[in-house]
Amino acid sequence: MKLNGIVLSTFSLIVNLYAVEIPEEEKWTIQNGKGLFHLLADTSWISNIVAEAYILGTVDGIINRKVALRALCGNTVDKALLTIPMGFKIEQILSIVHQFLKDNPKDLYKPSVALIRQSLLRATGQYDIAGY
Amino acid sequence: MKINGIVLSSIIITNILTAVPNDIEKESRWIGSGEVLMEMLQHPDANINMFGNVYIRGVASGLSYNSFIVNWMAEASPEFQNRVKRGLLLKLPDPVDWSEVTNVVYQFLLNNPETLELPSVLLIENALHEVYGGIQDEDE
Repeated sequence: MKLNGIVLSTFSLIVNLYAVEIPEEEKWTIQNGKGLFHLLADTSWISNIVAEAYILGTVDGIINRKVALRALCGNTVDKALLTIPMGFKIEQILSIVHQFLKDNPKDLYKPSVALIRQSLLRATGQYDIAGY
Repeated sequence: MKINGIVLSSIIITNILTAVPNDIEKESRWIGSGEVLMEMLQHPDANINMFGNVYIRGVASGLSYNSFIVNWMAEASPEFQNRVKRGLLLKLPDPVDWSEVTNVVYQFLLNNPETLELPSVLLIENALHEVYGGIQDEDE
């Protein structure tokens, strides 16, 4: 009888989970702030290292593209692009991003790349021409 | 055995993170050369594979987000738009199939072994441009 109850509850839960479509912005993936924050806040080292790999990849992508964009658009584009000051360390970047996510819980539905960019722009005192 | 795997993974990842210089502006290549990225993608440890895969996702997101910023600027300024249209921006499909993106990069590395000494961020960019190649000038 108890087993039937458990099976029924589990079945109901699965049906409910499938019945309610989770909005895209509510899903926790590394692509959005919620997922990234969840990974950074997790106590497991593998979660942390995955989040760190994503952040470092994102920063590499943003910085690397600058050369091509300058060639394409001229120096005007610099106003919209992130510049990391000389001597910045990996630990500083990770700490800045993590703190920004902690301080801005209402923005966690936004894309991680936008939040990473925004956190570093603010921390390095750069003007964000395009917003996020 | 499992602990050995975890220790090995930690050592490899720590080495990668500490081996590169801290100066992003000059280097912007946290994960090192394509050889390192290839080794990570082919490593028998799933955690190391994941690290490589997630790094590729991050780079792809960063590359395409800058294109978004430039497009935003182009909408605000017609003069700027003319310049952008003459160029080539990376445009990932929407929605993005991330398995496909990482596979594109992996195939590029496999097919271009002579380029593996280059920074992985450049190789990822080249791989993605080959497949998702950008916004061409409409007049061309």
